[in-house]
Amino acid sequence: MSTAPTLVEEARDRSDRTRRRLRLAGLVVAGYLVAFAVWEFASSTLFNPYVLPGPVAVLGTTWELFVSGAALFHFGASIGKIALGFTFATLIGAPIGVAMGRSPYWRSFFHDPMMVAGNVPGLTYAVFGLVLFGISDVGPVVAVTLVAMPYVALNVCEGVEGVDPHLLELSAVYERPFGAVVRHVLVPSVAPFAFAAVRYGFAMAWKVGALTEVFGGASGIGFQIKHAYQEFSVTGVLAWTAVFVLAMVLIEKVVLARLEARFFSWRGDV
Amino acid sequence: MTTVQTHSPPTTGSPDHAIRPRRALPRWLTSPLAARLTSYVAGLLLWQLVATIFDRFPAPLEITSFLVGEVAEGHLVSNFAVTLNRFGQGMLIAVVIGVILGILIGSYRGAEAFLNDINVVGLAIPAVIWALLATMWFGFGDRAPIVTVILSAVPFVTVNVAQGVRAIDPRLGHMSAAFGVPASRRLRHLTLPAIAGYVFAAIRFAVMSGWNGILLSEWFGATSGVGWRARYWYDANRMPGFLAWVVFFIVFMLLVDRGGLGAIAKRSFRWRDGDAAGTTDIVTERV
Repeated sequence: MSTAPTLVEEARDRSDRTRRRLRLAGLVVAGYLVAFAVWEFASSTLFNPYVLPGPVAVLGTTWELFVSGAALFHFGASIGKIALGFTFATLIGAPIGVAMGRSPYWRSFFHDPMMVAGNVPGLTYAVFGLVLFGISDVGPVVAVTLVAMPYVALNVCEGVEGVDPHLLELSAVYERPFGAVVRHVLVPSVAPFAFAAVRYGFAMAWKVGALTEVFGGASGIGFQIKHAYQEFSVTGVLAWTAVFVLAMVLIEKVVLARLEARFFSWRGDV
Repeated sequence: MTTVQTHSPPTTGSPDHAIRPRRALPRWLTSPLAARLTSYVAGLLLWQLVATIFDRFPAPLEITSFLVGEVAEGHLVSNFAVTLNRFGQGMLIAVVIGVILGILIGSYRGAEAFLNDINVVGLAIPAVIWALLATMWFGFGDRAPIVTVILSAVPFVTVNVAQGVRAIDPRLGHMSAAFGVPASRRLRHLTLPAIAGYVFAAIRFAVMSGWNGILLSEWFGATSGVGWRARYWYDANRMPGFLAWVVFFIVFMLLVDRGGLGAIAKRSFRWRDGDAAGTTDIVTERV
């Protein structure tokens, strides 16, 4: 009957797909290998291992950082500051975003300041942090707050604009208390946008946090990078960079992506 | 229920609820332009306030006079010229490399598998690390800033161009293949026109990230340029001098973004978005 050929076709299809996937996986591995080969070649032939240490030396040092627990400790210090900064950014940015979403006046009022705050070169925040707060962990937190705030405000503003006016009208007609309107209408429609702010603001915050730590931090990955730089240890800088990149990619692609999928599974689409 | 809830905030959905001035303020005070000006005045006042609280933070007036002094002595023009020269060279190389890589990643599955992860790593590395590494590699001079600009800008160009290539209607590609259009003509008449807008958008991001990179690189590893000059005043413990340069950086950034690149990027997307679109800010777009 007609089912037999489809099954065969399906099986062939599946084996085709596995083969294609295998080939792509092979290319991914080849990409890494070629990158490491180029790196090794540059290290041993173009420069010398002191100026540009090879991948084995760098990854070995990275491994030691993980084993000794230093990587985890400073990662914790960095991520803690970023979390704190994001909390402040949300506390300040969300009300601004609501105001911007609900009134054209406040939108014009806050538009340019948010533009500037989001686009100021990181160097500025880093040096200000150092000048105003000295060598401490306050500077990075303030810098992260200032960088993340425009993301939160602009995304919340977009979310508030997208709130279905019919739902608000309905709530008014049925005289729902303000708290209930916030809880059941505003928060659910703004939440995806707020989450987008975290998702896309994170990369920015992570980088500016590290930059501020390089200049005036007292702990964290950026602080360690600066330490290695002052000892003129290229291996150290590269090893900490590897820790930094691993942490960032892991958080972005695994943690945040998972959270997003979980948070918004009720929506079904997208 | 109590009566308190009856005067809950005006959550009616009528679009004019926000435009209506609540306390009958005159129209000229509530217009968007007035709001914008008010925000500038408020910003200046806030700055003045911070300057009074923190002794080390200079007031707006001090900075203006300092900037005028730098211009009068010719430091601004000479250092800016040096920086622009490095920046221009770096950006040019970065755009060429980024467009090539982007087209490869966007067109071929294999190239994507091969290069994508490397590009992700490139996107994740902040400019300050490139600045430090370039300083250690090349010492003081022109090479470290140029290399920093290239390394911090290429991943942004690549990722945007790749997105543009992926957005090309695959049926156009199939048709070109069916009619045996050679690859060079396909590139010239299909790929390049389709990605032009993305390239400009990419350049816009690359400029933001490259400008940040060159400032850091000149701060750590140069003896000329605007970043070095800012550091010069910082090392001399003259905060007005440092801040005057920061104001200059920001104004330059905004002018480039508002005046030049933003308009070009919007214009080159016009065929797709229509005239009304394209008003979103760069902050929300930077992924």
